[in-house]
This record gives sequence, structure tokens and C-alpha cells, in this order.
Amino acid sequence: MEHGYILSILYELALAIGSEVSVKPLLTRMLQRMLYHTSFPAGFVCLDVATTHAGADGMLDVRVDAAVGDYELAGLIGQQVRLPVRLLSGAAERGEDAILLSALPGKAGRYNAYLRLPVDGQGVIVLLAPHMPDTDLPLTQLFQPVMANLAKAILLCRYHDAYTSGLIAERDSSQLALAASEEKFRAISAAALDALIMVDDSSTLVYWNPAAERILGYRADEALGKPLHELLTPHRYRDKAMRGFNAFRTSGQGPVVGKTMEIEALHRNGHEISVELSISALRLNGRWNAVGILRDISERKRAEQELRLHAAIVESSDDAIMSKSLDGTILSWNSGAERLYGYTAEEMKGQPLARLVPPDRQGELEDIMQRIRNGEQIKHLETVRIRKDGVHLPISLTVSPLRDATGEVVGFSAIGRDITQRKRAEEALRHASAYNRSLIEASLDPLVTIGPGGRITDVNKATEEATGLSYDQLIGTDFSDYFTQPERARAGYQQAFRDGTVRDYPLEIQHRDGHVTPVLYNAAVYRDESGRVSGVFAAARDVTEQHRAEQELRHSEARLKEAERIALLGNWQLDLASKVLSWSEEIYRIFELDPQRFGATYEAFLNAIHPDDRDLVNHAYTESLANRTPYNIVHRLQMADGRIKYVNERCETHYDDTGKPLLSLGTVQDITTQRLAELSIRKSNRALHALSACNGVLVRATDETQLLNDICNVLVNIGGYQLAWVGFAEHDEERNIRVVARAGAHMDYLDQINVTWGDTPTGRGPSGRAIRSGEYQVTQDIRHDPLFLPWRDQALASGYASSIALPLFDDYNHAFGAVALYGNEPNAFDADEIKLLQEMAGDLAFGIRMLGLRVERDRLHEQQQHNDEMVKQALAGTIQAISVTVEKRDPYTAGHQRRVANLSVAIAMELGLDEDRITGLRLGATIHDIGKIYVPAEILTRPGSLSPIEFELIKIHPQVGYDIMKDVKLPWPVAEMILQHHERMDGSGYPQGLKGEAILLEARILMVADVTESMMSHRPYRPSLGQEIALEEITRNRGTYYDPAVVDACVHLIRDTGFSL
Amino acid sequence: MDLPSMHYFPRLDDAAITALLASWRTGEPQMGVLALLPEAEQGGVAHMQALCAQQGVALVGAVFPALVEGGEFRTQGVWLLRFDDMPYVALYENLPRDADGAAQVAEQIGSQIRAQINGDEQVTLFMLFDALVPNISTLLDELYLQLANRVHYAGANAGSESFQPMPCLFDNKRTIQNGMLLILLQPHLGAMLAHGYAAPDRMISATSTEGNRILQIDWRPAFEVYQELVRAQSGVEVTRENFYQHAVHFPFGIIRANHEVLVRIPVSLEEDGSLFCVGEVSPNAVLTLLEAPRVDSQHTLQTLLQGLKQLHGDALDSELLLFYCAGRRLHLGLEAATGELHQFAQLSRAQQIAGALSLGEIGSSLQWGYPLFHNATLVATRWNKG
Repeated sequence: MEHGYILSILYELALAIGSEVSVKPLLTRMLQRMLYHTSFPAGFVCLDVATTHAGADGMLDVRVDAAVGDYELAGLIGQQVRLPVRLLSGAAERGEDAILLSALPGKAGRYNAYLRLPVDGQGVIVLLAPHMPDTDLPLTQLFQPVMANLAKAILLCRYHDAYTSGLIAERDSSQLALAASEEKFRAISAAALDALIMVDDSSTLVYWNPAAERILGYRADEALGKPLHELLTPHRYRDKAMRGFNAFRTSGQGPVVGKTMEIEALHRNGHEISVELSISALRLNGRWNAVGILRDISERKRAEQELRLHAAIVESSDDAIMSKSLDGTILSWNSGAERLYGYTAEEMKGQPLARLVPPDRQGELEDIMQRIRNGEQIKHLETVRIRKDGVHLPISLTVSPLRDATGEVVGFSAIGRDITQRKRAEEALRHASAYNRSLIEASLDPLVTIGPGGRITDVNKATEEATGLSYDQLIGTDFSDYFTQPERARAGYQQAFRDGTVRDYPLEIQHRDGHVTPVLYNAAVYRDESGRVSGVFAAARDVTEQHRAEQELRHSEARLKEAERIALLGNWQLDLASKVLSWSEEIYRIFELDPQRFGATYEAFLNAIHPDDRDLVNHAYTESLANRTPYNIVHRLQMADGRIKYVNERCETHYDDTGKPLLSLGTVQDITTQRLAELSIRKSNRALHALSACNGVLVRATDETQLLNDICNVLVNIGGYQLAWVGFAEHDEERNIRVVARAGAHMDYLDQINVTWGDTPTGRGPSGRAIRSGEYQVTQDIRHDPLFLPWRDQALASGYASSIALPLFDDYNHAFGAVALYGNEPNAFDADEIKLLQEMAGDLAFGIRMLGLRVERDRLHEQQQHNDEMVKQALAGTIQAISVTVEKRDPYTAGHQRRVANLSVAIAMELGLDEDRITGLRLGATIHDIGKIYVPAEILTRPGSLSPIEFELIKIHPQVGYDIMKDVKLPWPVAEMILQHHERMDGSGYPQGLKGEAILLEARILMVADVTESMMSHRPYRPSLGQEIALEEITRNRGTYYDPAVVDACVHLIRDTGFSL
Repeated sequence: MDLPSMHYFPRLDDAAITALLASWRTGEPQMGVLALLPEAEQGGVAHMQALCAQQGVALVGAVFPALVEGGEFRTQGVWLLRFDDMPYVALYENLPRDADGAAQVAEQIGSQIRAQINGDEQVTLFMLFDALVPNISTLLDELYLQLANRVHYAGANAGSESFQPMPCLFDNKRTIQNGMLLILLQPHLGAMLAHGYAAPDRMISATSTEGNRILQIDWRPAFEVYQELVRAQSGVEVTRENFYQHAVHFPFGIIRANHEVLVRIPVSLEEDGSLFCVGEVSPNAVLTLLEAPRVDSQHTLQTLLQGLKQLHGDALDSELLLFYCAGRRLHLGLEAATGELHQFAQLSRAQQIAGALSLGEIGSSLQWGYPLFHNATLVATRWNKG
């Protein structure tokens, strides 16, 4: 191969190397080009092959960096594999080593040849093939320069890949930093409590943080892009604000820039809110933007307002309100205090508090002040203080610590109220309630009083027993804690507060030992002297026993219902006096009525009974009343959707002493499942009988029409179907179904309807679908099947309620027709029955096919016979024609074959051969010298004796005749007759030298007839020898040359019967 | 005995075709059909689609310049080839012409094919392309990266012999052009390809190409160089006027290191002097001018038959599918080409040979060989029981 050729390949590979900048595409492309050029179908590349790390087993862990052409290896790209070091290392090599290559991952044995090309310190390329591809190129040397270039390219591509990865990493890192920064700003902005908004130089809102959404009510998407002033500036300030902004946009300055002010802003809800606004200028892209930070100060404003209000309240209070420093110096003193203690504010401000405290309570004062310093509040402390006039005054004192902004206690306030009147009233009350108390304690029902906060204020002994807790443990605690349902208890208490009273409120008291007491609570509010509600008085009644009885009753009813549900048994009763009828739940279920919508009425009952059974039911009940006997009947229910249910109904009536009926008690049990099972069995039995009868018909059938009609009759008379018919699919344009047999009631129905098997409305009935789909098709309820619409009215008028059609299949499993059956009630066909009917349809189709086959067979047989006859006649004619052709060449023997044939036939008849055999013999004899066609005519016709050579030529004629005729398919051994007609019984004949019985009888006859006729006829080489000489010849050689029986027959024919040639 | 899986109708006879489809479907309910039509019967595609729709038979097919039947080329009629079980087929329209697009389509095809392959069974990815798709070799390279030796590759190009755009690939509903019809034959042992064009000695380089157009040879306008080469080598003066007459006898060969050539027949001369070939010519491919190439018919047929025998055993009594390149017929002449068909039929002793005159062929002269796009070849495989 010339250098230019090799260089051009290297050039092409070098270009492929130069066109890639990344390692993986470089290796893949290189492999592709190498496979393309070398006819190796697969290859792989491993880089960084460290052969020194090979294991003791000679295997090395390497990474597959590229693979082309091998499905398994391509799936391992980038993965570590274990390969023989011998395959990967060493100089360039082209070799065949199936064992070495079987170590490759994947299916072993697929490679036998390899080409290893080391890539100059970078790795190795291995090409693989099932067989070593033909080439006259030194591939191991050829690619050396390419491998050197490839190694450099790999190095460059690795740098490039690393550089690219670095750039990508750097870019990713910058993007991450930017994203983090943005995220940080977003987080700060989102978390800021102050609204942060920004407007551009057209006063359009361009930034709006979550706090702005919260404070101003607008979502960011609603605010952004809107003019600031229209959105947020109250109308009255708007013109001024816009003027100010116009000045700002040119200079970035203005009277409010860099300042904080309190202003009003419009909230989304239309209200104005107070905000503290700080504005700063921001220059972006050469334009002035304004950034505003708004703080909602509505709360602060409200607090200030409240403070003012509180001061007014304090001043106007009847209670003495004062504030003091921590050392007890009075700091403020309201007019209530002036009225209570008799001192003016001027007199008391700056005075020690101890001045108001009796000497015996100074310790109490110290205690109060200490507790206040600790941050404690003291509420409603009942104590005594000294008025200016020296009177000791009972007061209720509430003292609270005052704190500074840091929460430090810096003083305290005290509110004092005169409780002189209350103390007196309490004393009186204490006396009055002693009697009541004794009554309460005597009560067996737990009694409790509850304050407005839900705290227990009083309990009796029974409550202590019910809870297991002492009076002291109960007082002041939340009353709801002692019930199993605290929420419910609180709701009852609140109801009492709201409505004034609660009756029979069920709760459960939880004893501390876990025991639960069901109670009914009755509660009412009680009021103080002024009529205000002070709390709730509640009395509980233990209803444990009552509950137990009710529970028992419920369980009993539930068990009964469950039993009824399981047994599908419902009960009813009719109070004959009040005419009130009641049903159990199960009856509603059986009748499929909603107890919420339907009452138990006799009409509902009657409506559900199948129309045909209503008289039966009525009669049974009437008779039962008349005869005072229970009744037990089975009748049907008809459901709204047409389904039928079977029920067993029993009824018994109770009478008074005078015999007057009082109460009818009855049960209704749904026995549909059992009844359907019975019906199914009955139907299956019926279908089984029908199937059996059909089989009988099939066995006896000799005629298709009779078969089909008999089957239809069996299906109607034994199967009990209303109508049965068989239709065949016509392959006309309309795809009609032709009815070929029918039986049953209202057969004229079939004359009224049109049924097809195309996908049209008239083809979507059961028969059409069965033929199209090859599956049986059922219409369980003709009334409701939309596909039956074209025939529905006629079918219902004929009393048909359901129908099934079963396909009939030919030998190729094509449906050629269908058998259709009709029942007089819906759902007449169940699964078991259908199976039997399918079997029947299969048998019927088989019967039709068999009859068809039988007819066809008879026809074929007849035709065969006819054909045979025709063939024989044609053969006879042909042979005759051949005979004439032969004899034309030998006019002296004209008629020899015909005469031999006549004599042979006569001998055969004499010997009693059958007619067919005689026909064959006639044909064989007619052309027995056909082989002479190859004997030169001058020999055949030359007068005089033949030379030995000429005679040898003559002697080949049986063989030639046989050769001519041997391949002609004839029903008789004509060729053999021709071959053997010069054989002799003693084996002295030719061409085979056969003996005795080895010679065909026909040939034995033919040889006698041939000799006889020859001797009796004139021949070209001699005159006729005469009849007697001929008979003498055959008689003399009887048993040696000729078959004795044949000779006898021939002699008898000619001598005794006067047979002439 | 099984019904024959191939049937040639000399004309599109509705009744006969319907009857055949019905009888086929009786024996093989899940069957489908591959229909091959000559371009003169292109109007019959819609007809076949309607007939198959009526019969509920799955259909795919293609239109070729002519059909191969009974050792003759036929320009009328239709071949119907039965799949006993309709295999996975896919029709891709408007195939991308850029490298990235080709890689994406190949990846998509690869994943679809992988999902269809059953176990370890040998399968053949049989591809029929519109001959006007310019980047078939690239698509084959990309497919080989995806599927490697998991499948055997075989196929042919359909379309008009005049290389005029024509919707030539179809299924039951669609008829498309500039696309590809994939048929996943399984189980199937692949196909065999041979051409017998002798390798040349003199090389040139296609320095600028675009798909299947050679813009420059040795850095000069392609046609100019082509004219010079033909003139120098054979004394023939190729002009714009007689280009079609001579080009088929002076095809290009793409050189491979195993001394085999891929034939690229220039079939059209563009206004700008570029040469439009059947099949892609990669940039900077080393070309040679196959000067009135000597074709060794005997060797071609022996290679083909020997390969088939290795694949399938004795082809006696089998049914074969054969694609015969239209360019080869033009080069050899009708008589010699028909002679090759006759000889192939005789030597193969096949029961029937169905096929078409194709505009490019896909395959390899070895089983498991690298799949290449060829011109001037014969591709043969066993049908249905491959």
C-alpha cells in the first residue's frame, strides 16, 4: 500500500484529534475513528494505567475512560474495573487470545482478537473483535505517530478540562457569594421591624419590604410600581409633598431629607396611621432615589393617650390611691385618699407612710414593703389604718410595685378601700348561713359553689367523698379539674352563667383514685346583695345505676341488631288497635329504604313486594287473621333498580280473650343468596340436561338444517328458554345475520326484527357483538340495556326479559354465527349456566363443521371418482394415441399391439381378474412395444432374419419402453408390464431374467398373448405360422417359459370358444 | 407448513390484498405488515393504510425506486412482508441536521430501544431512512455510542431515484419524509452487506463538506477537481450537461485502513459546483475517485451468501429480504444487475426473495461489525425468522 494512503488515514485521525478540547469526547471520537478504519467493532481506553499496582493474580484496577461498540463496557465508563495487566501493558500488539479476553467484564467468549495501542505514558487503547479483521496494514506501527499526538492531546485536554473546571468553580463561587449577599440583604430587610421603602425619581415605589406590607397593609406586588403619594400620603398633605419631591429629584436635597419626623400615612384600609419617618437620598445610575424608613408609632401614641386617661381616672376614683418611694415616702395622693384618710395631698406628700399605720401593725408595713421590693403584688389585704381624726378604719389594701423602664422596682402604689360596711354585713351573714350550712352538709348529692373565675368557693361532705379530696384541698381550685371532661364541665359552668341555670347536665366526676362517678348536674347562679352574679351553685346526682341499666339495654339492642344484620333478618310489629307499624333497622336495609326519608307504612311494604306476589302476601296475612294461625311464606321484593330479592316472611298475631287481634309480630329474612344459589343449581341442571340432549342430537345429526332446528327445540323444550335461534353471519354489505333455525314462543319476533353484526345500532345486540368479538354477550335485563333499544319493544311484548348470544367458531377460530337464547325474567343467565351454554355452543359449532366436512368429503369423494374415471379415460385415449404413433413406424406390425391387448384382456377375463386390473392390462398391452420407437425403423421393417447385433438392438425395447413410461403416473403397473413382457418363467427371458412369481401376472399374460399373436400374424421377416403352431409353441413351453394357467386359458379361448384375433 | 411470510402483488388488488391479510391474521393474530412500494405506486400508500385499517392490521412501509421480485426489478405492484408478531416500530420525522441534535435523537432512540429489548435475545435494529437525510453516518455513529453491540444494525434508504423530496416512510396513519423508520426485529441475527467494488490507489481529500455535499476537494471547488480527475484518469470530459450520465461510473470511495472503501455516488451537481452524494462524507475524509470501478459480482455474491450462511445456516427454503443499490444498477447496467439478482436467487436457493432497489444501505460485511452507511451494495437478511 502506498505511503499516501497511510498518510491520508493518519491525517484524518490527526484532524479528529485536533478537533476536540475535552478528554472524554477526544477519546470517544478517537475510538470511533479507529474502529471505523480497522473494522474492529469495539474498543476501550484506560488512562493512567499503573501497571506496578497489579495484584498477584495478574489483574489491575483501572478506570474505563471511554468505550465504544461494547454495551457492557460502555456502561462502565468512569468506573473502576479489574482487567488483566497483560492486556493493558506492553508494546503495541495485535493478537488472538480468547482466554485473556474472557476476563473482560460482560459476557465471556465474545472476543477473540485484540489490538493494543499504548498511548505514550497516558494510557492504553484496546480494540476488540470476535475474529481478527483482515488487513494488510501494519496496524501496530501504523498508529504510533497518532498515539504520540493523542498523548499530547490528552495532556492538553486535561489542562483544558481542569482550567474549565476551575473557571466553572470560580463562577459558581462568585454566584454563590452574590446569592449569599442578596440573601443576607433579603433576610435583613425581611426581618426588619421598620418599613423600608424606596422610590425612584418619578416617585414610583421600587422597593417594599415585608415590614412595609405589615405596617401599611399593601403587599409588595400591590405597591411596587405605584406612585408613592397617591398610595401613602393623606390627601391634605399630598400637594405639598409632591412639590417637595419635585425639588428633591433634581438635587437630592430637601427640608425633610436626613431628618426624622412624625407624620400620618394612609393605610390600605383607608385609615391614617401615625408613623415616624426618616428619609435619605440615594443616587443610582445618575438619578436621585429616596429611601424611607417608617416606624409605626400608633401604639406609642395610644399609650400616651392612655397615660393621660389613667391620670384622670386615678384622680376621679373613690378609692384612696397613692404612690410611694421604696423607703415609704408618699409621692402622690389623690382626692379619694383625702376623703378616706382626712389628710390633703399637701399634708401627706413627702410624709412617711408609717404615719397612717397603727403601732401594732408596723411590722405588717415592713413586711409589705419587703415583698414589694421583691416585686410581689399584694392584693386585697384587709388591714387597719388610722384616719386623721384618729379613728381606726378597716380597709382593703392592694399594693403593687412600680418599675422603671428597665424593670427595676422604684416604688409602689397602694389602693385603699373602706370596708367597714362589708365587715358588718359579713358578720351578719356568717350567722345566717350556719343553718344553711348544716342542710348542705346533710345532702347526699355532691354540692359545690363556684366563683366567677371558675374556682371552687364551697363544697359539702358528699363532694369530698366523690373526689377523694378534703374541703381545704378543693377550695380555691379550678372546679373543672375534677371531671373526666374538663372542657365540657367549663362549658356547663359558662352556660349556667349565661342562662342563669343548667338542668341535668351529664358529667363524670373523677375520684383521686381514678374511680369515675357519672352524675347529672343541676346548677344555678347566685347573686350578691346588689343582684350581681357572684357564682354558681351546682348539685350533682349520682346516676351510676341508671347508666348501667341503660348501657345494658343498649348492648342488648345492639346485639339484637347485629344478629339481625348477620342473619339478614328484620322484625316488624303492627299494633292493630292504633294501626302503628314499626320496622327494625334490618327491614329498612332489606327493603333498601332510608329510615330518615321513609316511615314504616303498609304502602311502602306493598310497593316493595313484587307485583306478582302481592296477592299471595295479602292472602297469607288475611288467612292468618281469619284462622288465627301463623303464616310462613317466601315471596319476592322488587327493588327500585329492578333487582329481585327473595324473602322469607313469618307472622304471628296475638289476640285478647275475646279473640280480637291485638298485635301482629313478624320477621322478614333476606334469603336472596340461598334462593339464587338454588335457582342457579336448578338452571345449571336444566342447562346440563339441555347440553346432554344437544349432544344426543349432535351424535345423530346427518343434516345441518335438521341439526340446528333440533338443537333449538332441545334448548326450548328441555332447557326451558323462551326462544332459541341460530344465525349465520352474512358477508354482504349490511353484514346481516341470517336466521337459520329457531324454536320457542313468539318465534314471529324474529320476523319483525333486523339483526346485523356490523358495528352499527342493529349490530350491537348480543348476537352482533358475539360474532364481532368472539365472546359470549349477555343482556341481563332487556328493559335497561341501551344496546338492546332497537328490539326492546318487540322483545318485551314477546315476554322476553333477558338474552344471551354465544358465538359459533369455524376451524380458524372465526365466529361464523351465533346461537341466541331468551329468558322470561331478568338475570336469567348465571356464570355456571353460561359455562354450560358455551360448551353447548362449542359442540354445536363442531357439529356444524363436522356435517359440513362430511358433505364436503362425500362431494369430494364423488368428484374424485369422477376424476379418476376421467383420468383413466384420458390415459386410455393417450395410450391409444401413443400406440398408433408407434405402429405408424412399423406398418407390418400394425394392429399387433391392439390384437395382443384384445387377447390379453380375454385371457384375463378367463382367469377372473377384476375389471380395474383388466383395464390396466389392456393399456399395458396396447403400448407394450412402445420401446421399439428407439429401434431403427429399417430393422423393424426389414424382411428376413436379424443379425445378432440387430437382435440385441431389438432386445432393448422393453427397457426403453419402461424408461418412457416409468415416470408417467398411472394407477396400474404399465411400465412394469412393458419391462417384463419378454421375461420367461424359468428366468431365460430379458432384460432382467426374472423368474416365476417375480414376474407380474399381467406380464405373464402379456408374454403369452404376444407370442401367440406374433406367431399367428404375418411379420416383415416371415409369414404367419398359423394358429396351431402358435398354440403348440405355448403348450410346449407351458410351465417352462409360460405360466401354465395363462397358457391353459389362452388355448381354451382359441380352441374351445372360437376366439379370433 | 407455515404460510409464506412474503407476498408480491403485481397490482394493488383490494380484494386479493384483503383476503391475504385476513388469512395471515387467522394464523397469526398479532401479525403486522411491512409494505414495500415502487415510486410509481406512491399513491398506493394511502390505499394500503386504508386496507390495513379496515383489517385492523398494523402497518409500516417505505417507497423505493423499484422493487426486487423473482430475480427482476419491478416498477409496479407491492410487496407485503408479514411480521408474525408486530415488533416495536417508531417513525421519526424531520431529523435534526446538526451534531448536537443528532446526539440528542440518538440518545432518545437509545433509551426507547433499550426499554424494548427482551433479556439477552439477539436483536436487529432495522432502519429505513429517507435518502435525502444528509447526516445518516453521524446518526449511525451516535446510535452506536448508545447501543453498541447490544443490537445488530441493518437498513436501507428509501425515496425517489430522481432524488426529489418525497414522503416515503409510513405507518398506519402517517406518511413522512426527511425521517427514519425504525423496526426492532427480535429475535434476529442481523444482516449481511457486500459490494465487491475494488479498492483504488489514488487518494484525494474532501476538505470541505456539509453532510452529504462535497463543497471542496483539495481546497478547490469540488466539481472542478472532479472534472480534472475524470479527465486525467479516463479522458472523459464531464460537463454540467453530461454529469448524470457519467457520475455513476465515477463514484467516490472513502478510504478505510483495512483497505475497504465506502462508495459514495455523486448524484447531483449543485449550482455552486458542490457535489451531492448519497450518504454523508465527513469533513476532511480521504476520498478516492473510483474510476469506472471494476465490480466483482461473483465475489460480491459469495461474500453475501457466505455471510448469510454463517448467520442463519443454509438459506434453503427460507425467505430473504434483499436491498439492491440503485447506483450499482446504474453502474452495471440493467442486464448485469438483473443477472446478479438471478444468480443470487439461484445460489441462495431461497424459497422467496423480496426486496427493493435502494438509495444507500446500512450494515456491515461482518456480524457484529461497525455499522456503516454504504452505496452500491447488496444487503440481505433472513425475513421473520432471522
